[in-house]
Amino acid sequence: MRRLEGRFEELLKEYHPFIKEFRHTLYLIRKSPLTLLGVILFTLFILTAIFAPLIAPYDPYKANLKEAFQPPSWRHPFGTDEMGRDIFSRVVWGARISLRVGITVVSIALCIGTILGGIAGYFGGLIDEVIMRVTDLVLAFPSMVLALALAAALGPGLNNAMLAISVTWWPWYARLVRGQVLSLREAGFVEAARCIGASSARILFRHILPNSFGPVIVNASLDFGWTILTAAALGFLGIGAQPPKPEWGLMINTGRVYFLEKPWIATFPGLAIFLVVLASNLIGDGLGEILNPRLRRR
Amino acid sequence: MKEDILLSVRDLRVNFYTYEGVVKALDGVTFQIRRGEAFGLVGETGCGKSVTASSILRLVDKPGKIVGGEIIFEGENLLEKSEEEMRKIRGEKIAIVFQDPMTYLNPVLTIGEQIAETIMEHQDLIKEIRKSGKKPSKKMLKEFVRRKVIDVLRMVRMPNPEMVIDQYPHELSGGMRQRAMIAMAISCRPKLLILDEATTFLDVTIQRQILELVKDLKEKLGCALMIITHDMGIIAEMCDTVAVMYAGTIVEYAETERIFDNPLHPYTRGLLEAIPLLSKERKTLKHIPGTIPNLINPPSGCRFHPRCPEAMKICRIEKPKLTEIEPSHLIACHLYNGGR
Repeated sequence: MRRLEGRFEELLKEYHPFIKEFRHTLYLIRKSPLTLLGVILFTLFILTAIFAPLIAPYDPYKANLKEAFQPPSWRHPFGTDEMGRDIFSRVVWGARISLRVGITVVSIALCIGTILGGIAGYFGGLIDEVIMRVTDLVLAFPSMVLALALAAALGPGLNNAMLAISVTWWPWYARLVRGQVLSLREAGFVEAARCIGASSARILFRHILPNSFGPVIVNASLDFGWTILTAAALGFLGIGAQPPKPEWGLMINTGRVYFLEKPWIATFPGLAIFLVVLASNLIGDGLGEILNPRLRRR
Repeated sequence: MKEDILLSVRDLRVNFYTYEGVVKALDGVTFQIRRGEAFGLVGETGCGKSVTASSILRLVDKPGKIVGGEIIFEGENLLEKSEEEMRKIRGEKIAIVFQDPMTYLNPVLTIGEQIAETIMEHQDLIKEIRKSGKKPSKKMLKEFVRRKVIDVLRMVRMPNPEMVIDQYPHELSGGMRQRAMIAMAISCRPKLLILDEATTFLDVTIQRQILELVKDLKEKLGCALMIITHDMGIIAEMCDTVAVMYAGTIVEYAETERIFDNPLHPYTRGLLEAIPLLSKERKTLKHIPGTIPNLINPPSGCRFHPRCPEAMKICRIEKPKLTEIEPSHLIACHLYNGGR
């Protein structure tokens, strides 16, 4: 037991700088109420997604035609839809789908974009030309239209929709990262790194890219909401997630028909989308300040 | 005597190919640095001092290109080495400290991480741990490097090294940053330490401390120094030999005392006369008339002749060669080369 305690203290000591940094981050978040609101909403969203089976009172897929079109009540807080499914349960389960979409699309776009943009910016010349012209090509289409076309071509389904959105999303990161790399390439510390004999890969991945991450992370957290919104739009148009999946966009689509008489069917999933996008935007704005190492210790 | 020479630069030529034309930034630079010697390179802004330094590391950036001459370091020509071999020399054998420590330190890495990088790049630490009879593990390696970094920080007399190692560059003062830069440079005990205007950005008191530190380190490590500056005071304080540069060429090269006691080249004389002296009463500061020439279209013959008070006919036509007129006093001027 005592040995274990010793180990724990050692561990605590080793991670002391990290803990200190983390505390400081918490302090910075607390100082800006809007960021705090974003973080709270976002945490709620993630917790909902993780504990969906525990939170949802009903099975999101189980139809119960006897209880169709119930308005919000204590039994069904968000009411029921045309099949008598509990909307609250479906919205809760939908959080899982949205979380998956956001994480997958943003990480794919971020990885592809960062690597390609980094290489284009660092090496320049022909490589830069080729990569950036491909990027321009993709950006030339309105992203919604391109995602629509791709998703339709790949066939309806959530995975195809995510793939289609990723393909339309990476060029933004490539551009952003390339711009950052272009200016950082001339920075003194890059020259200093070359002077101590660091290799190109090392300079790019250890010195340049980490320095360009500030705006990238901010962009990613803003995009998190946008990708969810786009996926919902695809679902709404019928080429994203397919029924009976409790996807928010799809739910709005089914609720659309009854919107005037039974507004709760479309409203609650819409509200969920709104809150997640809002949270992601608030966090994105706040992160811009928090992640900047030069503004941290002010 | 010959083996004593650490670095010998001969007739180095560097061109920059720009839109407006070819800039002959270095036009035949020649000098030598002996082991353990402090060598100074002085000259006006834009005369090619920093280009000389980056040429030695072979880091002249694109439009620029080394077009001729040789750089012999420890008996080997650096211009013939592969990029891979050069990387081993940079940082390990030849290290450089730059002017502005803020931009030359990476803002997202701690001081410790940056110094550790140099050490890990060039030293086989796992072998060293094995030698001490212990089994190398990741944790051991980490501790080992940390100890080394703290040692290096102690060597540059960094206050509170155990704390500084985990700090970021923006948390340090200017003098401390420059100490960190020096720590990075000496972490592999280089044979040649280049200081490229290393104290220009610091205030005078800190400058003094840093120069003292560099002097001590030179004694301790036995490394040669190449001090690039435009401050004659630093040269007088620090250097054994000096080369005076003007518009991409070396115009005078001698021991420091000789240059100060008996400057021969008109440019050197002008430089020394431009230093204001407290002891003498003088209404206006003396200066060399004119400015440094445009290197795309440099003056014919001696590049200094349009500003030279003693210019002759031949100066306009023929470029003077760097010749030894007294033992170890080299000069490139027609006044002394039998031109008169």
